[in-house]
Amino acid sequence: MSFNILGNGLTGLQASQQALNVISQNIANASTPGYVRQRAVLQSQQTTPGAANVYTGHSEQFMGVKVTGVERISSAFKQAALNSAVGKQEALEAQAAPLDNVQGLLQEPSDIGLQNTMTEFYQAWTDLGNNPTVSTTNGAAAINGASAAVVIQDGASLAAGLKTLSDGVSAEFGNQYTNLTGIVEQVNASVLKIAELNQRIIQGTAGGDNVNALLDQRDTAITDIVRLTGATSINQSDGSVQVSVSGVTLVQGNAYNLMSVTGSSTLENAVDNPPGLLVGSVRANPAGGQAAGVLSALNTDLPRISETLDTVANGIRDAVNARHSAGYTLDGTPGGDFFTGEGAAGLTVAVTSADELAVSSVSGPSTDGSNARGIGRLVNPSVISEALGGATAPQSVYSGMVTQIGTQLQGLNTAIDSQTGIVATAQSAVDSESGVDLNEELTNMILFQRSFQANARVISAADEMLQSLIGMV
Amino acid sequence: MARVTQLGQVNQSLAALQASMTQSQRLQEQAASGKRINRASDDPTGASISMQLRNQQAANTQYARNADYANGQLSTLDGTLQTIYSRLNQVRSNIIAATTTTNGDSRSALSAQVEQIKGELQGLYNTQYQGRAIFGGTSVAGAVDSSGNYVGDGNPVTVQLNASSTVRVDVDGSTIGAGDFSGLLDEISAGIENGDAASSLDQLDSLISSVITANGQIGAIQNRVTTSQSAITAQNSDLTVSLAQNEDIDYAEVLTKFSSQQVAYQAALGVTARINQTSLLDFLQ
Repeated sequence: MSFNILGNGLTGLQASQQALNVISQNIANASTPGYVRQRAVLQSQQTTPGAANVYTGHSEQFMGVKVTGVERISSAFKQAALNSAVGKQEALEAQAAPLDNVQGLLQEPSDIGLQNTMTEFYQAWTDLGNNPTVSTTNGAAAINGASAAVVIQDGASLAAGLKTLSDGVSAEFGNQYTNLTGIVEQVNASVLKIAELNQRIIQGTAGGDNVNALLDQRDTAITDIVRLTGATSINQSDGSVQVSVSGVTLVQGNAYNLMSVTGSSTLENAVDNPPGLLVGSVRANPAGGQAAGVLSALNTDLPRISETLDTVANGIRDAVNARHSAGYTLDGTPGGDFFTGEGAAGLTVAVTSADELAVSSVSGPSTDGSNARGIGRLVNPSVISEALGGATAPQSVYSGMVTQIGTQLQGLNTAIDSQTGIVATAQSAVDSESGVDLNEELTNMILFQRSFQANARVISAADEMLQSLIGMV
Repeated sequence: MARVTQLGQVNQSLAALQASMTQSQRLQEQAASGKRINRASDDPTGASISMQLRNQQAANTQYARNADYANGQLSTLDGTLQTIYSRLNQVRSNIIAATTTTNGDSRSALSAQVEQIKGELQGLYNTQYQGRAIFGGTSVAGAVDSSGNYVGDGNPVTVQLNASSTVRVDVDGSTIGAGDFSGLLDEISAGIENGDAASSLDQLDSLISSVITANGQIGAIQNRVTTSQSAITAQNSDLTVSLAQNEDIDYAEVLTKFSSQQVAYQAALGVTARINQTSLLDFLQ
C-alpha cells in the first residue's frame, strides 16, 4: 500500500477551504446587483495507469481532489433577453416622458387651456358686435371702449397662450437634447470601461486567471449601454465582447469608437438639421434604449406638435385677418390686419387702439357691428373652415392634436405596463439562474465544513498509523 | 423548477409593490380631483368628447348672452313703439275733438298739443339703446333730424340666436313713418286750426297701423328669443350633465377600488417583510 493518505487528506482540506471561500464570496454578494453566483469545480485526481506497482498490484495512484476552476453560473441567453427587454422599456419610457410633459403644458380638457382662450377671444368679438358703440355725437359713433379693450386683450391672451405652448415645446426639445448629450456621455464612459475590461479579460483568460469579477463588471457596463442605446453584444472566443449599436461597432476587443451627438440643438433648425447620434463618424440609429425614445421625441413628436401649434396660430391669424380686413372701422376706414407674425411663437396683435377695430361692414361712418359679429362666428369650426378655404378649423386641429398626444401616450403607457411585466419575467429568469440562494449556499457550507472535518480526521488517522509504524522501530 | 434566490425575491416583491403604488396613486389622483380624465392620455376618446362638449357649452354661453342683449333691445323697442302708438292716438283724438268744436280757443289748444306731441315723437323716434338709435339702422346720425327728415340707413341690426338663425332686433324707422310724421303732424296741427284736419285721418291711421304692425312683429321676435333662451338653458344643463358623466368619477367606485388596492398593498408589504425573515441560518447552531 502506498501511503498517500496524508496527501489525499491535504487536497481534501484545500478543496474544502477553496469551496468555502467561493461560498463566502457568494453569501457576501447575495445582494450585489449584477453579481453572478460562482461554484468551485472539483475534480478527483488519479495518476495515469502505468506499470503495476510491486506492492499494491495497482497501476494507478489516488491523488485526492483538486479545484480545477471557479465556474460562473450565468446564461448569456437569459442575460441578453433581459437586456433587450430593458432596452425596449427604456425606449418607451424615454419617448413617453416628453409627451407627458407637453400634455401637462396643454392642461386639456379643462376650463383654463388654450381651447378656452380661443373661445373667449371669439366671444369678445361677438359681445363687441352686439354692442359696438357707447354714443353717437355729431355724426360720429364712439366705439364701446370697454368691449373693444376686451377684444384686444383676449387677442393678446390668445397669442400669449400659443406662445407659452410653443415655448414650452421648444424648451422640452432643449431638455431632451441635453438629455441625449448626457446619454452619450454615459455610453462613452461605459464604452471605455468595456474596452479596458476586454483587455484585462483577454489577458486573464490567456493566463488562466479567475476573471469572474471582471465579467460581472463588464456585464453591468453592457447592461448600461443597452439601457441607454439598445445595443447588442456578441461574445468573442478570446473572452472579449463586441458591442454595437444598429450595426455600428462601439467596442471590439480593446478598440473602441466614441459616440457623439450631431444635429441642431434647437427646435427651429431641427427640421433641416435633425439631431442624431454618431459612432466615430458613422451615423447610428438606435432601435431601443433611452436614446431611441429621446430621438423619436426630438425628430418626430416635438417637431410635429410645434408644427401643429403653428398651423393653429396661422389659421386663426388668416381667418381673423381675412374677416377683419374686409370690414371697416366705425368711421368707415377699411380694416387692416388684426394679427401679425408667423407661427405660434410669433403671433401678436397688430391692432393697437380700439378705433382700429373693423367692427362694421358698412363702408362709411356707421354704428354697425356685423363684421365683429362675423369674426365672433369663427368660434364655429365650420365657419372658420369655410373662411380658410376648406382647411381644417384651428380649434379642430388643436383638439385633434390634444387627442393625438393623449392616444399616443395612452398607447405608450400600455406598452410600458406590458413591457414592465416582460422585464420582470426576464429579470426573474436571470435571478433564478445567476442569483445567490442563501439556503443553497448554507447547505453547501455545511457540506464543505463536514468535508473539512472529515479530511482533518483522515490526516489524524494517517498520523496515528505513522505513529504506530514509528513506535515499532 | 426555477431556483428561488434572495435577489430574485426582492426584485419581484419590489416590482409588485411598485405596481401597487402606481395603481394607488392613479386612484388617489382621481379621488382628489374628482375627475376621471385628468389629462388626455387618461382616456383620449373621452378627452376629445369633453373638448367638443366644452366647445358647445361655450357657443351656448355666447348665444345666451346674445339673447340677453336681444331682449334688452327688444323691450326698449316694444316700450317705445307703444308710447309712439299712444301719442299718435292722442293726435287722432285731437282731430276728432276738433271736428266737434267750433270754439277757436279750444282748437288752438288742440293744435298746440299736436305740435307738442310732434316734439315728443321726435325724441321717441330717436330713442337709443346702448348708444345706437333703435329706428336708425346703423346710421351714426340717428333716425330723425331736427327738420323731421329720416336720416337712418335701414341697415338691419341682427343677433345670432343659435348656430343657424339670426333675428333682427331693430325696426327700420322708414316703415313706421320716421320720415313722414313731422310733416303729417304739421299738416294736422294746421288742419285743426282751419277745421279741415279730418282729411289727414286716413294718412294718420295708416301711420298708426304701421306702428301696430311693427310692435306685433317685435312681440313675435321677443317670443322667439325667449323660446330660444329656454332651449339654450335646457341644452346647457344637458351639456353640463354630459360633461360630468364623461369626466367625473364615481366616488363609490373609486373609493372601493382604492380600499381594495390598499388591502393588496398591505398584503404585499407584509409578504415582503416576511420573505427574508427565515433562512437555513436560523436553524444552524
